[in-house]
Amino acid sequence: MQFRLYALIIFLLFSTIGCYATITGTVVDSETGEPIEGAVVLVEWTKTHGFGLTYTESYKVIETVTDKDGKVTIAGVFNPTVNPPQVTVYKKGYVAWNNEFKFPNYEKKKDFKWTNDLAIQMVRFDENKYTYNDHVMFIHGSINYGLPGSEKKLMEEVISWEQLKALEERQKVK
Amino acid sequence: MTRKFIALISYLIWLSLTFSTVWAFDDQDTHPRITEKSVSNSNLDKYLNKNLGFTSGSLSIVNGKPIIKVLREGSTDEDSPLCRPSNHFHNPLKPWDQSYMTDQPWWLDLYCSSWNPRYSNVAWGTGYISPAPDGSKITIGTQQMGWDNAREYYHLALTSQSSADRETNFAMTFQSLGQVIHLIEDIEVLDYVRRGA
Repeated sequence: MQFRLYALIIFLLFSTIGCYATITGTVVDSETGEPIEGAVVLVEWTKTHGFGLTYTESYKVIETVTDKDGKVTIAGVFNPTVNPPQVTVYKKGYVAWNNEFKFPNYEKKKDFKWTNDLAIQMVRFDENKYTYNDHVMFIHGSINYGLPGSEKKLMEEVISWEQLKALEERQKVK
Repeated sequence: MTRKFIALISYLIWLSLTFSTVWAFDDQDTHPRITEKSVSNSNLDKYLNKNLGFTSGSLSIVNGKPIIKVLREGSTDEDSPLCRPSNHFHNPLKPWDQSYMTDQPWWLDLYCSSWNPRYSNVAWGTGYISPAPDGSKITIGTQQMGWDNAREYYHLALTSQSSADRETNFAMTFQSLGQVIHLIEDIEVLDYVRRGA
């Protein structure tokens, strides 16, 4: 009887891993607090295969845009084997926002916590402070650009102008 | 019932104690990020533009995808399927034909038995089992995305009759280049050059 109880406790503990609820959030301008309409929000769940030697591939990608109040809602994934979701938000003229990393130095976000209504504050992109090349590489990293098994058409479309800017910068330097 | 529980806990403890850790770059994030940084710091954009007519450099589209995306994809794909990374290690204290990983856990060894024999990172990437350019070379049947393969795809991309074949082979060139870059990145990790040492 005791064994079954322990087994049940262990099962209940582990069964909650990998079940990711609906993501809701509000995207605002960090200076004015005004909601940002039309920001592209990309959420990706990945799956790591193997034990010891591993590889990762995309499990599910959802792309959407914020409404006039800057709000976004994305359905969760209920699969105990997937990794926690990565969220990236992009709006032209702003620094891309990612739930795991900070721009420009890729510092890991230690203060990020999942809440019922994520407050996503976007900082304006300062051309005098940052390069488009660094920003594009940050976005590519954030959206797992090129991860096998995933299509991110909407995000790729909206960042294309910035990719060209990055290319111009590189060619100027060389 | 308590005995069963103790047995279960003992098994889990045994499992955790016998598991050896290897520090590695993450294939989802770090590998493709280093690859893109390498491209950004190199002359690849200029080379693609001047020599191959890809006017948008690494943003040019081959086979429906930007080159930079294909390179990133290659540097992720080198870890797939599961046993492929067995060939990503190199012990510099041994001759190259013996410098492969030798301390793989027995259960992983068993699981990856179809990938035997294993090869050193250098042999896996280039085919050389002794230092180039005069060293001996081998052909590895399970390796289709090494440096020599990249050169072969490149040759086909330049000489194929149909534009579809040229596109496909350009895509394969950049995919395998991404996979070779992954191997160079792995060699920077201490754990990858200590196997068997």
